[in-house]
Amino acid sequence: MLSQSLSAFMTAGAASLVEFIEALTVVLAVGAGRGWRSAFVGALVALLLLLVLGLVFGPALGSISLGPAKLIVGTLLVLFGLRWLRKATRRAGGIIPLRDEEAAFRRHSARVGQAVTDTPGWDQVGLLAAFQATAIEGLEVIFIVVAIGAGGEGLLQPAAWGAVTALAAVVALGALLHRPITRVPENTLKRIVGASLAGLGTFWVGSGAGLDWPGDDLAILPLGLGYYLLSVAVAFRLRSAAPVTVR
Amino acid sequence: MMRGWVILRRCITELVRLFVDDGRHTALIVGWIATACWLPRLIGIEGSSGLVLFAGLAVIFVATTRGPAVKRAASKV
Repeated sequence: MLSQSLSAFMTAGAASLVEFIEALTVVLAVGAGRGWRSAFVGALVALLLLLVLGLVFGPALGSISLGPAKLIVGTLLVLFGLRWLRKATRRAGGIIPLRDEEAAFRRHSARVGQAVTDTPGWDQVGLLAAFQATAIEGLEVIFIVVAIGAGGEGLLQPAAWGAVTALAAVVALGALLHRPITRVPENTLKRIVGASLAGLGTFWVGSGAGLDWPGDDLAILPLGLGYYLLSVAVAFRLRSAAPVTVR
Repeated sequence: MMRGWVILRRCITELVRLFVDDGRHTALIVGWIATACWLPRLIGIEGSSGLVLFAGLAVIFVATTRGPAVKRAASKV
């Protein structure tokens, strides 16, 4: 029985670690690119919501189908990610000024008649992205725990502790990583953020739609890297093409 | 509570902006996602279906980042 409990703890912990690291990627990316406050609050609200859902519905949550949710959230991540990546690529290519976001925000605020400073430090897109990523990955962790817990009597508790341990490890990892990330130049960071979100979003859209990915979850890394390299290539082309077009 | 409502309202506004201000890109991406969900099965390349999705999105990204940006830069001079 002890070996079964230990096995449930380890399996749930390892599987949850993968899911939480995926969420951490988005939270770190959002925090570094759009503000830590929004990223932190988005992730925290999602975790609290999942905790409440878990307590209220318990194992019944295991019967929910995640496919449609992944498809919708993945599509939104692709849309936001590619939009950010496009903007950061144009900046890197010298087509738009490096720091025009504040001016754009002021223009938008003036247009909709809102005070620019009524909620300083909040970034709604960042908050939404961090919330969605944490909620989806957290829900997957619940499924993992429920599935492992259903394997035998008394396995739910060690599986849940495995997931909690994984969460604690990922939170510690995030605390370690968030400072070095802020030293990366702003526009490079925005490109990394855009590429990471687009990569993860593409993977989720594919998973939600039932498409095949070579290497399963491991495909996320090459996808993000692929978008980043494309951004580098396009920025290089823009830098060299713009003067030729002007002439 | 009030602050939470303000944030929620802004989240909704941002989602609406995604479709209104950036409608062309959004339509292209959503259109391709919808196509890529059934196209690989139709032409019998299910094993690479995820890569087909990525390839299309990559093409959309390159096309929408390069084309209009270069034209705008040229027209400003």
